[in-house]
Amino acid sequence: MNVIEVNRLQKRYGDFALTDLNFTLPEGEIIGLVGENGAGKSTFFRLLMGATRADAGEIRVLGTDVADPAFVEVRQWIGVVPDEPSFPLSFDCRRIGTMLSRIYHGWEEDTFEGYLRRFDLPSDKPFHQLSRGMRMKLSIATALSHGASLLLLDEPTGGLDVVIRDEILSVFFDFTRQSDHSILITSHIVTDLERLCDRIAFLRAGRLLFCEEKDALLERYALWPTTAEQLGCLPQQAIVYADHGPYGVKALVLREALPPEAESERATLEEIIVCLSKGGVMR
Amino acid sequence: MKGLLCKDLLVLKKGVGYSVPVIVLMVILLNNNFTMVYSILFCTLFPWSVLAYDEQARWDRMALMLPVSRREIVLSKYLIGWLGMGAATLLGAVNALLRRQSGAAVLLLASLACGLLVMSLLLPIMFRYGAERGRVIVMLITFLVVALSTMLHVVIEGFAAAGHIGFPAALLATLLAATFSWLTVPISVRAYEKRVM
Repeated sequence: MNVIEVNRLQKRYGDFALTDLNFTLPEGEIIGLVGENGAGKSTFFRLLMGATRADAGEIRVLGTDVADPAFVEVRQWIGVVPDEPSFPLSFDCRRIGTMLSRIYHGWEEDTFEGYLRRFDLPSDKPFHQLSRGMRMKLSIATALSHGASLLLLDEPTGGLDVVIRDEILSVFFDFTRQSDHSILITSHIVTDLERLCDRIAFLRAGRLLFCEEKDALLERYALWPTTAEQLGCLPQQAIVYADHGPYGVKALVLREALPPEAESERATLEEIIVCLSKGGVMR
Repeated sequence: MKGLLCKDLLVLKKGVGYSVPVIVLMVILLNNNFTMVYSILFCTLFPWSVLAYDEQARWDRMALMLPVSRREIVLSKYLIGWLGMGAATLLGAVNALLRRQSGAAVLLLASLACGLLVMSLLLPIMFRYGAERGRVIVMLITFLVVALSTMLHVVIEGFAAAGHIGFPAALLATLLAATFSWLTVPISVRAYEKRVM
């Protein structure tokens, strides 16, 4: 079963457009959505939550069309962490918990209190006095405290230090131990996605370029430090991106197309994404 | 809905809470028609106050991702206004009863009708364009509230004294205004749906 199904989605905002987007998130999987700033990731999240209407296409989340009025109730089962967590500025963590307990039927007060302690969040400090990192941790705590089976996380590790990021990632790992729990996450910290995700989706200028298994991506590509002449011997369709510098060329290429004697390096997910963002062609 | 309403009441307490005891004291201590009218019309500002606060906190964007409908968000703001005006009318009525002031009922009901009309005319615009962008409209409301408060008690007193407005007419006007207010809820919902956030 797919917990998210997007078919031929179109959304235009001024001169920006999400174009003909098709996407699925199977139950139990973690997909990392990457893309440059302004690629449309946050807009996509808002469309998935039914907070913004699509111009065309169909979006089904947890089996319900987001345009259906019944989708409001489906949101009970979705934990959402927006890129900019927003709560009433004068409310402290405890009051935010009380407010959400009246909105989410399955609110788990003990779980929420547990996360407040685990994330070292002050329960009596008003929201406007919390740092960005604290706000993010609070938003994650709320998303995990109402029995959600799907998490939509928009840059949840942004603004967090290394130790807390590690802690948060282990919380997400714990969440997906249950086979029917799924996560769609965006992050500019690609190493986090490399640790966490089963599949990686890449959004560029409003178009979904690919959504593939992380391991297959890492296996398929290699970084080849070489010369322009040697690179020229490789078929054009094997070259994703070539960075020509004063000391040679560093190219992202299809591993299988490399000559046996070529000394290539393992490409990290971040390197693959950077090459594609710089105009590389997906092979 | 219950969660939203509780949140809106707490936000309202933070926003205009300081002025409520002052107005209550004014109504009781000054005991004149102006303060009675003003206390009711002042409550037309409650929904705007909460909307502006939500926008400042970007809560309006967050709320749309929670299990609450746009109708509930809109209705909660109307309820804040209705409850406020209802409480102010009750306060004025109790004050008048205790002081055995005749004729206060007509003034109170007419003020309530005016308050309901002002709030219900302006809320769809607020939901369409937002409280910040609608700041000009809010200045207009404030002006209307003060101007109406000043004029209303003079006009209504005059008409009531001349026998042109009686209790039944004021009650009918209030009921019509309340019906009108209720009918503008779906208009506000549609306006809110069209708003780009």
